[in-house]
Amino acid sequence: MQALRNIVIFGSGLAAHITAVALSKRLPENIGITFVKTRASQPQDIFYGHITSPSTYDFLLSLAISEPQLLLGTNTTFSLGTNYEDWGTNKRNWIQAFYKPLPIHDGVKFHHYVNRHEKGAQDWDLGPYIMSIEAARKGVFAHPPEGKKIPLASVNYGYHLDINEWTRFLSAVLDASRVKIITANTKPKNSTENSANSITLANGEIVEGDLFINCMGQYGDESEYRTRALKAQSYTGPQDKISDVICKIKQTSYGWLSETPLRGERIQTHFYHPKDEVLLPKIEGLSKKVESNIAIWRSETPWSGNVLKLGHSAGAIEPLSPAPIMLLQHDIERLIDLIPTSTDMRVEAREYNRRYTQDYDNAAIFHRALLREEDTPANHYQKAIISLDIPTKLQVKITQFESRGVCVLFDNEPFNEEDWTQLHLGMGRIPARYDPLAARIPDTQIHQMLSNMRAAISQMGSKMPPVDIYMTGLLKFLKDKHG
Amino acid sequence: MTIKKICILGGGTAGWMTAAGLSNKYKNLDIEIELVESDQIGTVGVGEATLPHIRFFNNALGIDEREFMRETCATFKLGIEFCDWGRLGDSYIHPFGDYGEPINGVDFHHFWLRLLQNGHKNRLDDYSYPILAAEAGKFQHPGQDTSVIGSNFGYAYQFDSSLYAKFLRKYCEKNGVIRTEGKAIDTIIAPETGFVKSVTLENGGDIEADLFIDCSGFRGVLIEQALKTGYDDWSEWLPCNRAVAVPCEASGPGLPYTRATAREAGWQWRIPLQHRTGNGHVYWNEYISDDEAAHQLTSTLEGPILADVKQLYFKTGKRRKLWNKNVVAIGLSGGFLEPLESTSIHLIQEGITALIELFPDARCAVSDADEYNRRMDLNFDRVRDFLLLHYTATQRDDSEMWRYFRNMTLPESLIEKLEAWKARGYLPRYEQGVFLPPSWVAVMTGQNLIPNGFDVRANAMPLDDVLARTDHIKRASQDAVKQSASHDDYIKTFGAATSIMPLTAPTTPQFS
Repeated sequence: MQALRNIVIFGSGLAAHITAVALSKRLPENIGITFVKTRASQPQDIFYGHITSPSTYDFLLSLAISEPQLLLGTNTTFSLGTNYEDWGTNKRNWIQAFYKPLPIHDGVKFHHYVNRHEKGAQDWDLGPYIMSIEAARKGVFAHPPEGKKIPLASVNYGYHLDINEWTRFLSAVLDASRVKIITANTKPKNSTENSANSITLANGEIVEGDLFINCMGQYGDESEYRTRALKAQSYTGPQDKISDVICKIKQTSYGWLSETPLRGERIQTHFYHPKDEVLLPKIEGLSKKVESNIAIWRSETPWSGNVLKLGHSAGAIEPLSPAPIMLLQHDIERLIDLIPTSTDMRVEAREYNRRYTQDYDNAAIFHRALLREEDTPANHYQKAIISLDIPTKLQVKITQFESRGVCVLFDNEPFNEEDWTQLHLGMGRIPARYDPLAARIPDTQIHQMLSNMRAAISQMGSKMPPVDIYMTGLLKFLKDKHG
Repeated sequence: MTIKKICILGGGTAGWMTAAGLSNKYKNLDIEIELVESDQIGTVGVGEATLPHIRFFNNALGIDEREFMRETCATFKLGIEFCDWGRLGDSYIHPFGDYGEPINGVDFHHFWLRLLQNGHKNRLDDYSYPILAAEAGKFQHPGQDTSVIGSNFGYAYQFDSSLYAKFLRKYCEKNGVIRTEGKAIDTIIAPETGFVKSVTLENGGDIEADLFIDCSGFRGVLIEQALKTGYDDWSEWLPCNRAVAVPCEASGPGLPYTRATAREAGWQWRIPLQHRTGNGHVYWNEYISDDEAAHQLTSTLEGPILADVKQLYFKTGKRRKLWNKNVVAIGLSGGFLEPLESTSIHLIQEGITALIELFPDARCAVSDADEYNRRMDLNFDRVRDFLLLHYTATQRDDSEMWRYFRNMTLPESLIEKLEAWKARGYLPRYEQGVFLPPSWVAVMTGQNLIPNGFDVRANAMPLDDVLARTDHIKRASQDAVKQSASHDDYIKTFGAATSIMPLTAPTTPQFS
């Protein structure tokens, strides 16, 4: 069997560019990389959303892209999480923030003490104990210091981004001496094809390779994408200063909308089932950016033969959370872990598909948990979700959390225990009881511990600078330093 | 509806570990714990060798390491030496720790494979402090910075499990655990719930409880005899079904590792303690008689034997539900996997940890039992696959048993692991379960399963740079070993030497 010599990436959007940069930075020189940049735009990229998880920082570093480069090269802002508004039949509101694990006392998870402290209250949350949430509420931000025992050190952050800006930025940093770039139209390969030695460009040129990475998104025969349809319209408006460190996701009569603060602009995107387009309100004061359709779907075998479908080509998940970009990062990490050693890539394809399926399905149950069974579906968007069975894993998670506050985790979950705890509480899944071990600490001590923590967080929040001022100062510093 | 009373039936390693774990957690919470054991019923002593996780268990109990080692005649353990597994005459050590250190995010063994394919013949073992220290009979505690070579390893203990049970009994009684001498002869089931209501003792007493922990050993007095839970028989994959065990006088320096030597119809263990050496022969009675198994064991010991040869019978597998109604089976009552990788005590520990996290109220919700069983099933399944690897990743075909394994149909999960390893040195990762990728690397390379390929990222660095990085790791590992004390000296200077004199054989022993 021959050694793998050449990888061909084709597509035009975020997935194609980020794959090209990642492979160019992390593969040895003896593996050639060809990037066929198709001319067609990829409006479907809107479904990657506008928020990343904290893992993006390290991911970009692995691509030799530092945060200063990113901030200077795009209109990216910092993100402390998502504010869900009017969510579900009960119109719930909560901030789903990024933060490091809360302190464990006497071997017991923190939320059990809060549960005990709340003495059977029907509803409570962890907001006052999470620095990121306090900062998000106040619209303030500062980088978390390393190794210091202050509340700010518990903050994690991701980014708010404009996908087109990121794609442009990645295109600019792509090393043309390492990657052979061909700009041309190519006829998309039928997705059932799983073996190729070459692809033919519209001008007749033939591009040969051993492994083909299809980043073209969903196209062609839509019957393949047989599950939920989703449509999005995105609008943009000017923004003088950055006012928020969270994005907003709000339930609407037709589906939901997101609002994301960037530098110089604010993006508003509406998501809905195509049949409910008539319910969309007239958007005023903003200009339309893009409109697109996608199917919420995943392939059973994204890697088949020597063709790997990556990003939306393999599956799409709605941008209700940072999941879409998280999954895209995972697709690329998984590919790099499994770059074939030879042209026989059956082992790699099988393992990639196993991990992909686990990853996608674990992310999907996080989104499924954002709808309660008893919620009345108000539109086609919700009806389509409620008609799907609740996965067994999710049933286990909900039962354990609602009955006793235990967060069940399975292998290789993209969302961690902190994410799940906030989601459950945000959705009103309040544990019926707390860990009996939480009773080992006297009431007065718990009261004092929680009170001190709230005060420290509140005090820290009042000292932090507004995000706009922080960002302005940071950019000035970076420009002075990096030119 | 909180639990007010817990009854632990059985007082071996499992019973006293459970009592210690629960009494430590629940001692101030108005929960009574009563442990019932009978001096008439012997304990099996499931394992004397442990995994590094045992340290977390002891630490959580607040146990002083020196005192524990003195009381249980414990030695340190850096890994397990496997002899004659890949081929007759081979040996390797499965260490507690990674090989080398990742380079640019790529696991070290890929760089070793690259060097191997380029004609460099260094052993992978040469990049592992715990292996080099074990081979030299040396030990030191890992330092605070576990990223430094010489500190980037785990360690466990080899101890006398009956002394450990006694040690924990004292700990438990201080915590208020009630020990009742007695033999259970009957179980009363509540008709409306099917829960165990009480156990009746031979002396006529009844012990009622809200929650029962069955630590009664293979008999499974509550989980099986009372609740008829059923047993998943894994003999198809792990067919060894008997063992003979005997202690002998310790000979030579105390080694900081356990040894498992493959035999024609099973394997033999050697566990060096401070005062004696534990030995046993696990075998499949289809291919060797009990007498022959005992003969093979006793004829290969390093010193005079100290007691009668003990005969054990078992069937590998696990209960269909380790938690059924209000009974949780911990230890041999829950299942048995041969102690090839020292997992018996570890599975007890996993059971206790899961029980504490899912500690029920008196209703013992089915959802709690289901979640407990899911976690424990996963633990058992993953240990099973890892044990099976030892029997199947081998070139041996010199006896009926080895030929049986060569023709065996493996679980799909194991086949996929083996194929991914052979093709490219890749190991599927998971977060739940005890044996992480370095353990798989140890057994597969140790048993001569050398991959055909490796991660292409290992080619991203010039060969000379790879040589420089790997040589540095090798030298740093060797230097750390040079600076370590001999295992015996370390135990003494650390203050962990037992006051029990090394045991000696009084007379010619009687076989039973």
